[in-house]
Formats: sequence, structure tokens, C-alpha cells
Amino acid sequence: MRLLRDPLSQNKTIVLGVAGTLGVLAMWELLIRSGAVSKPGLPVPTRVMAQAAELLGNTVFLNQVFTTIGEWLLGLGVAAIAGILVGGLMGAFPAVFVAFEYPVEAFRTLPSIAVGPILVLLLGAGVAPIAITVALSSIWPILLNTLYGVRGTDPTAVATARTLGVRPLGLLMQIRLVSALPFAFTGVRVAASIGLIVTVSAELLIGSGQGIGGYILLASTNAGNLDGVYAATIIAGVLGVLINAAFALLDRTAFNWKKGLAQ
Amino acid sequence: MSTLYKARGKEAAAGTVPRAPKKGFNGKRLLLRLLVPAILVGVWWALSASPSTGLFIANPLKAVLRIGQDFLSTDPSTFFLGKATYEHLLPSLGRAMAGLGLATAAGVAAGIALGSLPVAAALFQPLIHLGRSLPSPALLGVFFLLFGTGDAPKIFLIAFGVVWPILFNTIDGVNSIGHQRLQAATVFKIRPFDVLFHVILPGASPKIFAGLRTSLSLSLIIMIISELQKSKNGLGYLLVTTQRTFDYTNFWAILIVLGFLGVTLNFLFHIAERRVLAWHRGATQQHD
Amino acid sequence: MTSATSTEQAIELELQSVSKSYGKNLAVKSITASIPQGKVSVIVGPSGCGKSTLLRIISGLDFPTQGSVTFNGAPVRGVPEGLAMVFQDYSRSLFPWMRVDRNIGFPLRHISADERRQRVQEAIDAVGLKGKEKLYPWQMSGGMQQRAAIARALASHPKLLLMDEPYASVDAQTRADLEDLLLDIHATLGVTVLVVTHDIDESIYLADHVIALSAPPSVVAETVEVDLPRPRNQISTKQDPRFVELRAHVTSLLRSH
Repeated sequence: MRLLRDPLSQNKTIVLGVAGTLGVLAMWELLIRSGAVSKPGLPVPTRVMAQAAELLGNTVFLNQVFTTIGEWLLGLGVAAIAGILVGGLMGAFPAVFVAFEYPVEAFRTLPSIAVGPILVLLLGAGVAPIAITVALSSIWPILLNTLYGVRGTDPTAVATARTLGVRPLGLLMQIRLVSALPFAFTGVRVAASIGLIVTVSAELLIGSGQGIGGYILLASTNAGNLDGVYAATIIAGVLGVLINAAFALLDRTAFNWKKGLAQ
Repeated sequence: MSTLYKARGKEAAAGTVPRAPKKGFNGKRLLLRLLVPAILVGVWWALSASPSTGLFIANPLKAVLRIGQDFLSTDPSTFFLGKATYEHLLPSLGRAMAGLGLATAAGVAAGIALGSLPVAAALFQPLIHLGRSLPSPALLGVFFLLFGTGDAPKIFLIAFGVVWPILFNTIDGVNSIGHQRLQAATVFKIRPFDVLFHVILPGASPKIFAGLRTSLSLSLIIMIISELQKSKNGLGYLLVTTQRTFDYTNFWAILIVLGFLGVTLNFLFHIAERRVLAWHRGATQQHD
Repeated sequence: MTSATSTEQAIELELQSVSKSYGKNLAVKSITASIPQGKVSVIVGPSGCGKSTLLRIISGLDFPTQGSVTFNGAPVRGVPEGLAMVFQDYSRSLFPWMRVDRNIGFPLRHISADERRQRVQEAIDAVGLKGKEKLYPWQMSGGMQQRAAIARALASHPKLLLMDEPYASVDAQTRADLEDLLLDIHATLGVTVLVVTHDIDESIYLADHVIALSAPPSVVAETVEVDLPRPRNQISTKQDPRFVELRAHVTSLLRSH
């Protein structure tokens, strides 16, 4: 087992990534075309790609993508506000931590998707139950990261602020929350990825045909349009990758000073 | 019981404010603990009694009693577990664990291979990122088509859905072992077998556990989704049928069971993690 | 664990015009040096002069672009037998998931359990870690962790002990203790020692001869024989006029290149 290998340069990584992806797709295509693998229902890369290209040129489908993004943003926004608020208070005040510790523990392991159907009954089908389902599943990383961030505030910074006469509320707002911000953002970043998967899943389960999930539902039941299912699923996945990359970039530019904390 | 203890550990290490309340009996603390759950139950009760929402929201007491009726029994020969536990809870749990187990085996093996071969990791990196972001429940129909209608499609869908965090974190974990430790292993001519089981696996284990934690929660979600169609049993199946028969007491009972299941699994996972990673808590307080 | 130097065949490490470049970047330029058996040799040079690169090449972890390394009469291809290494950063070279005794015994998994236990115990005694066997590395101070790393290297009964800036991460007092520990071990075991350091005082205090490297691309500025008597002492040796003289000489070597 050779252990020591030099890390690859960025250019090499990109070239290899493109080559690997194309290689896997080509191999897969070949296996199916040649008949080596012949199970009905398996995706054929070129056909799925063609279908995806067609979908991306279709304004109706694009509108559904925007609907999904809207639901996701709404859910993520609600989760971010609630998560930072509750997590921040739990981190700053022991009493709040004690009060919320067990409820948080119980609700964060509850599969949020199960609550969906009842939300539809209470709120009616549409954007609201999906956004709430998304919020219920994406609040936890935000809440926990904010909590750890507030707790991990450098005690020297707090002591310094105290000697400068900063009052408890100012201490929370100006020192603790600010230094917890990068952690909270990491939470939002993790939540964003989970949130998008839950958005599409919720559309499949409790949606009324809207969004990418709605399209997949239609494609898999009505017409048995498997290429459509695959293409839409992959488009949702690529959307997730792009969102994750955007958040990572934002993280690097906005919270560059965080690196100093790691020491 | 709390797995939020991590926060306490960090706080103790850094010696920062706020202080975790002292252990032992403390009336004020107990009141605080009960406050939020009491409010939640109160709101639930009020909503269940209201004419507009009471139709869909079952009385919490009735829901809890319903769990006792369906999921528990007085018969010692069935370990005091009721019919619904055997017909629905355990099959669901079994499929979730089978999927998670399959994903763990595949994810850790592939992750170690890719983590030790930077070229291979670079080749597959985009596909792994894509896999991680795929809404796998969308492929439920496809999995039914490919693997029939029994347990297989459900287990495979769970495995497919949860393998990504494990794979991703294992690769990350192998990369986090550190150049100098690997150099030490090379200079001291450690055998490949020992390197794998005594250097790479333990070195990557903190990250592997982080991935497993995400996958555990995810496996419960996909477990439910996989049972909503073409199923004859399972908690997800019950969620659908109780809604169809307007049996909302039972519906809420199942929600409570699901919450209980999540907390229990998380707790067991936590004990395992604490045992396996005992060294890691101390080591991270020092550096790295 | 007694010295068996006399019965072993004479070993010697030989560097012949060793060069190493990374792309266009020349790190080490044509280094020629020989390390006599049973002595303490120290390579000293300014930061970034390619000392660590050189040590990686000697240990077989890396390969020279040009030139060759001969250990014990045979060319080095891969990590040779009879070589052990102490790394600069103890916290990153010990395995934090193993207790001290397992860390030390881990490289000895090919020998019988009894012999392994005995060797581990000898190594632990030699570095003064008795009673700490069941601690995790991170439960000990930096100095003790580096002692454990030295014990791990000694347990394999090496012919050549390589040390890469072994005391760079510890405080001054611990550093002095560890320097004396090394001299002690060398006196009892007679193992050939090659230390790499940027500290001129340390190099002269430890060495039988000092190989002074210039700034990169590094060449050997001069090999300085250290004729200070042994056993050495942190206070009296460092006050010795000869020590002061040698220090001035080595300092000027590093400056002028």
C-alpha cells in the first residue's frame, strides 16, 4: 500500500474530473448498447442527456425549476431565521439551553417528511406545506452550528469587551453573534444542500404537481417517461451542486477571517 | 441522554462562558426542562380541541394511548410488544438498517480506495458531488421497476440515498490522517494490512462517523418515502393508510413512534461513537 | 539492550552529488557527504535550505533527481532496513488512537509478542517514560510525546537514527533535556545518529561533526569536525572557548553563502 502521494494540481483535478465523468458515461453507454447489461429501465446516458437538454429549453419546465427554487429559498430562509435565533439564545443563556435541549433533540431526529401530509390538510396544498417541511429539515444544522459558534466565542474577546463596559445584550449582539456568524453560515450551507433534496422529495409526496418533483411524478406515472425522470432528477442534482459551490464560494469570500480562528 | 453534549465538551475544553448547569437534582432546572415540552403539548391539545383544526389533529393523550394499544402488549411471549411493532415497525427498521449497512460497507470501502488514490478521487469527484445532491426519492419508481416490488427496491433506494455522505466523508477522513503519520507508517515499514486497519481506518473514523450520522437521519426519511407506494407494511405505509381512512389518532401515534425511533437510534449511535472515538475527544482538545 | 557495535559490520551513509528539483525549482544542489558509523552527525542550515528534503531522500521516502545515496553499502531504493526516524512534529507523527505502548510496539508487529513486549519496555525505560505506558499521546506534555516518538524509533533497534528537527516544537528547558537524552542513548547504544536542525548551538552541542548547508539551492558549505570532549554538559560545554569558537565559525559559514 503506497501511502505517500503528492496532491494533484487544480488544473489536473479539473481535467481528470471531466475525463472521469465522460469516461464513466461512455462506458455505461457502451455496456447498454452492446447488450452486456440489458435490464429495462436503466438510463442510457445519451438519451437522458438529450432529454435534459430538451427540458432545459422548455419554458414550462424552467418555470417548475423556479418554483422549486422559490419553495427551497422560502424554507431555507425561515429555517435560517429561526435556527440562528434559537441557536444563538441557547448558546448565550444556559437557561434557554436547558429549556430547549430535549425538544431540539426529539424533533431533529423526526423525519420531517412525515409531517408533510398533515401540513397539507391544515394549510391546503401549495407552497406553504412544502416550505415548512423544508424548514423543518434544514433548521437543525443551522441551529446547532450557531449554538456551537456562540459557545465557542473566544473568552478573551468577551473579557475584553466587558472591561470596555459592553453590556450583556451588546455582548451577545456584538461579540458572540458576530463571532458565531461563520459557524451559522456553515450551518446554512449544509442546510441548503439538504433543503433542496427535501424540496424535491416533498413535491413528490405532498405537492400538487408543481416544481421539479411534480414533473418527475407526472413523468413516472402518466407516461412512464423514464428518461424524463432521470433527466429531471439529474437536473435537480446539478442544481444542488451549483448551489453548494455558490455557498462555498460565498463562505470563502465573506468569512475569510474565520481561518484565524482555527489556530 | 442528550447528544448535544458536544457543546458542553467544547465549552469545558475552552473554559468559556456559559456554564452548563450543575448535575444533580435541581427543581428550577427541572421546571425549565419541562417548560417547552409543556407548552408544546398544551398547544397541541388546544389545537386538537379547536373545531377548525381538531378534525386533523388528534388529542395527544388519545394518540399516546393508541401507541400502547397497537405497538405494545401485555403478553410476555411477544416481549410486551404489540402487533403493529412486529408487522410495521420492525420491518421498516430492518429495511432502513439493511440499506444503511449496505451503504456503510460500500461507502467506506470505496472511500478508502479513493482517498488513498488521488487520481481516482479526482476522476470520480464530479460524479460523487452529483450523487450527493440527487433527490434519491425521485428514483423510487425506477427502483421498483428495476428490482421488483419486495424489500429489495426499498433497501437499495435507502442504500443509494445514504451512501454519499459516508463515501464523501471517508475520502475526506483518509485525507485528514496527515502526511507525517503516513510517513511514519512508511518509514517503520508497517504491513499493508496493519496500515489499513490500524492507521487508515482509525484515522478516518471521526469523519466516517460524521458521515454516518447524516446518513442515519437520511435513512429514516427514505425509509418512509419508500413505503408510501406499493407496500404492504411499514410505518410509511401506515402513514398513508391512516390518512386514507381518516384515522388521525393513529396517524399522530405513528408520528410519535417515528420521533421515538429517531431519538433511540441517535442515542445508540451516540454510545457507539463515544466508545469508538474515545481517543478523539481528547486528541482534538490538544490540536489538529 | 547493550551495545553490539563491535560485532556489526561497519555501516556508513554516503551521499554522492545528490540533487533534487521540483519542476524548475532546485531545492538541493549536488550534496556530497559521508556519515561515519557510530557517530552523531548533524546537518545544519538556514530555514528552507532543503534539509527536510535531504532527510526524505536519505530515508527513502523521496528520490534524488540526480546522484545517489548508499546506506550500509547498498544503494537506497525505498526505505532501507535498519533505519528509524523521529519526525519534527510529535503530535502529527504519533498515532493519537493508540496508547503509548502500542504506538511504540506498532512497528514491531512481525516479531513475537514476548519479544515485542520486552523491546517496548526497554525503549520506554531508555527514554524515561516508565509508568506512562497506558496513556494516550495527547494526555502527555510535548516533551514526553517526543520521548515516545524516540522510543518508537529505538524499539526497532535501528542502525541509523534519523531525526528531523526533533526539538523544534518543544520549549527550551525540555529541549535541553531531550538533547541530553539523545547523547545518553548514543553513549549507551552506539547507534549512528543523523540530526537535521536549524539551531547552530544544538548542532555543535550534539555532533561529532557538523555538515553546514548553504541557502538554497543548497550545497555543503563545509564539514566541521567537533572536537569537544564527551560526556558533554549543557553549562560547561557551552562555556568552553572551543564551543564558542566553533559556533562563530559555523555561523559565519551559514551567513556567507
